[in-house]
Parts: sequence; C-alpha cells; structure tokens
Amino acid sequence: MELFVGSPEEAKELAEAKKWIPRQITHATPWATGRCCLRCKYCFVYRLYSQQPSSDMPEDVWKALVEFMWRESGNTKKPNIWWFGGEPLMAFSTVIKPAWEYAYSKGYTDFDPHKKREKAITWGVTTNAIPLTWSAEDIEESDIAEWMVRRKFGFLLSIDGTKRTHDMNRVYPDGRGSFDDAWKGVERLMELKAGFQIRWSIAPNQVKYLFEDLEWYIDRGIYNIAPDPVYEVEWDEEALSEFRNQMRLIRENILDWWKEGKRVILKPVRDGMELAMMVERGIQRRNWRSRCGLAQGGVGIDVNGDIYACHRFCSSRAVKLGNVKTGWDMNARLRWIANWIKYPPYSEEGVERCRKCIARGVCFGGCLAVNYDLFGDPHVMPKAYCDLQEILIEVFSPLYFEAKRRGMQDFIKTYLGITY
Amino acid sequence: MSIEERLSRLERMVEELYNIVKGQGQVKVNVSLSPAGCDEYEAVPQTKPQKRNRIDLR
Repeated sequence: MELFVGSPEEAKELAEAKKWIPRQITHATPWATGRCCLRCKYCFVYRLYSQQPSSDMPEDVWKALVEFMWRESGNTKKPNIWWFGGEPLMAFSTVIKPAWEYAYSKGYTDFDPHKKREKAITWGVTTNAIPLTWSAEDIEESDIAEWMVRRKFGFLLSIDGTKRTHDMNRVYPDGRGSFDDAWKGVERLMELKAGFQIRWSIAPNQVKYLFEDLEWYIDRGIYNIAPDPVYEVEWDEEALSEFRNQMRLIRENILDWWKEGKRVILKPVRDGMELAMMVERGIQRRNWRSRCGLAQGGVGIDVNGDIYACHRFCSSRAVKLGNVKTGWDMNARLRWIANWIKYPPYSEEGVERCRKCIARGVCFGGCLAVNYDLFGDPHVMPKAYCDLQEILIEVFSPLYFEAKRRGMQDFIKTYLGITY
Repeated sequence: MSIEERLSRLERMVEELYNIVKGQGQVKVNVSLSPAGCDEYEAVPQTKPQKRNRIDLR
C-alpha cells in the first residue's frame, strides 16, 4: 500500500511506527448495537457522546466482521470476538446469534472452540447482565444465558457491588436502580456453572462501600472481580482518602482469604503489586510503546464496521483505522502509532509530577481513550488516574513483600500471571 | 527530584509496610525510587493540557 508521507522527518517517524504494527491481531471488540436499556450516571458512551447510533450492526457488516477477524488473526489459534455496545445482548437475535451461526457454518468456530485442535474463533460479551435471563425466538435453550454458555462464551458483567451501591449509578432511563434485574443474570450464570468476571466501577459517591460489598461477594463464592475507578469524574481529597482506606482494608484481609482457600482475584491488588514485582525482576520501566489502544493486538469495531484503536474509541469515533469491509487504512494506523511513540504519557499536572511519581516505573499511560476523551490527546492522564495509581502502589507494594515473607508462592504466582 | 522528596516517598511506603507487619519481625524493603527513564520527558510538549470534557455524577 502506498503511504502519503510529507517531510523526510515524517517518513522517518512512520518507518519507526511500522515496527510497532504486528502481523496479526488477536481480538476484536465490536459494538453489536448502539442501544442500551440503562442510562448509567458515569457512562463514558452516553454521558460524553450522547449521539450514538440507535441501530444494530447490519447483516453485511457482521458477516464482514467475522471474515475480517478470521483473515486478520493469521495463525492465532484462538482469535476472540468480544461483543460490546450499547448493551450488546439487546441485539442477540439480530447480531450475536446470527454472527455465531455464520461463523459456525463457515467452519470458523465450534460449540467448544477452546477444545478444537484447529484454529477457532472464541467469543465473549460485556453485558449489564439484565438480558441474560431473557428468552429469544428460534433457540432451543430456555434463555440467552443458556445459549451462550452452551457455546462457551466468556462473560464480563458490569455490576457495582450490592444493590445499595449498584443502584446509585446504574439506573434505567426513568431513574430506577437495575440491581435486582442484573442479579438475576448473575444467579442464572451461577446456576449454569459458567465462569464470569465482575467488572465493578468504583465512583467517588460509592467508594466507601467497596470493602463491605466485596465481603458480600466473597461470601457468595464470587472471587474474580475487577473493581476499577471511574477516571472521567472528579476525585476530591475526601474521596481519595476513602479509596486509600478501602484499599488498606483489602490489604489487611486478602492474604487471610487465600489462606482460607478463597482465591480472590482483584484488579487493584494486581495493579498495586506490579511495581514491586518488576523491581524484583530488575525491570526499571514498563514498556509504554506497545500496549492496548494502538490496534497492536485488538481493535474496536462500531456498528458500521469502522475499525478503531480499541472499543472505547467507538463512542467518540476519533481514531478510525479502516473498515471491516474495505480493510485497514494503513496511513491512519501508522500515524496513530507514530504520534503515540513520540514521547511518553504524562500527567495532567505536567511532567514534574511524573518525575516524582512512585508509580512511574509501571506507568504506561492509563486508558488512551479516557485520555483522548478528556484532553483530546492520548498522552495526557487525568489527575485522578495519577492520584489513584499512586495510592495502589503505596498500599499494595508492601503486600507483595508480606506475601513473600509468609511464603505464599501460590498467591504471588497467580497475581504475576494476571493480565487485564 | 530532591533527596528530601525521594525520602518522603520512601517514608510513606515504609509506613505502609509497618502498618501491615506491625512488629512481626524484619522485612526487607526492596522498592527502588530510581530516576531511570526521566529523560524521556524532555520530549513532552511544554503546553499545559486543557481539560475539554468530564462527567458529573449528579
């Protein structure tokens, strides 16, 4: 493909960027629909970009998506399509089910793609869990959950703790809380013995309930939880102080939970122990040039089939890198990476903060889409991100050494192996 | 970063460590606050970033 290059300097930058483009991608996160049954108060889709498509992905696009993924994943043995939106399961009958059936008819997937010896597409969904218990036409299973579990879909469930906490922000358009309906979906997956992860958004208005709610989940045998702060909102000193308190409570208990056989996996703990792990391995600085948000491993795809640097860019439609029907826009792809690798990510408060930051060694820029949404530049991290990361490093670095002191190799090995 | 600032950071981390071990014996702290990688920031633009968007939870 011919590239449109300006100055010799730009040609050099693009040549450097080319080194960071892989031969294949491993996963795609397409929007099945722009529709959603909820109006969550912190939603980065609707609260930042209210004009979203009310349509589902059309047939010609989901067919092209499946073909694109099969082709562009090269010799990846288990490429993955992970549905997103809007609420993707609102398009179960129009997109998700027929796309799977199309891939199955072409021999690209199977009922248990993970066990298939040959290459096979695997599947997953990020959902608010509400539609999981809905029935659907033309399926022999009793509900959507059973159809998906039978085909070994992965599940990432957007649920924020208990009813009291969840209903503060995750609401229907009329303001009603959605916990009761969402929890039916969780119970249904537990009944079907399906694996899932809880994707729990921590916001300043409910952070004080975090530890108490975590105990509620652990009592129910749910251990795989990814609480992650909402960075698009303001975190004042009081909220940051409460966040630190909650993290300390987790630190005081997590090793005991493991001793009791409750193998609790929490994203903040992993993030907070990372610096200590790196230092032990002699790594001074995490590589920030290769990461998510650059279409180096995965891409986001909107309902029109446009390709973006990740699924979070589908709402702003800011970094379009091609279309599943026509293929990559190599110029756009190279320029996006060339722009990123020019200099490292830095704090909204300026590089002086970065120079002093205790999280600098592990910092790779947070979420590029959050940065872009808030500042129009993927390099600029909001102050909230920097404040919260420093707290995680402060609180959980000592935990790593304490786990070692107690000889808890299983705990350390498990956390070392986690990627998000 | 000055020696004082680095010591202050280290002090906070040691305090965290003390909070969890509470006199259970010696624990070796091996967390570096090395300035390695700081010269990368020379290439960052001097202009102050302007926030153009944020979410209000109300």
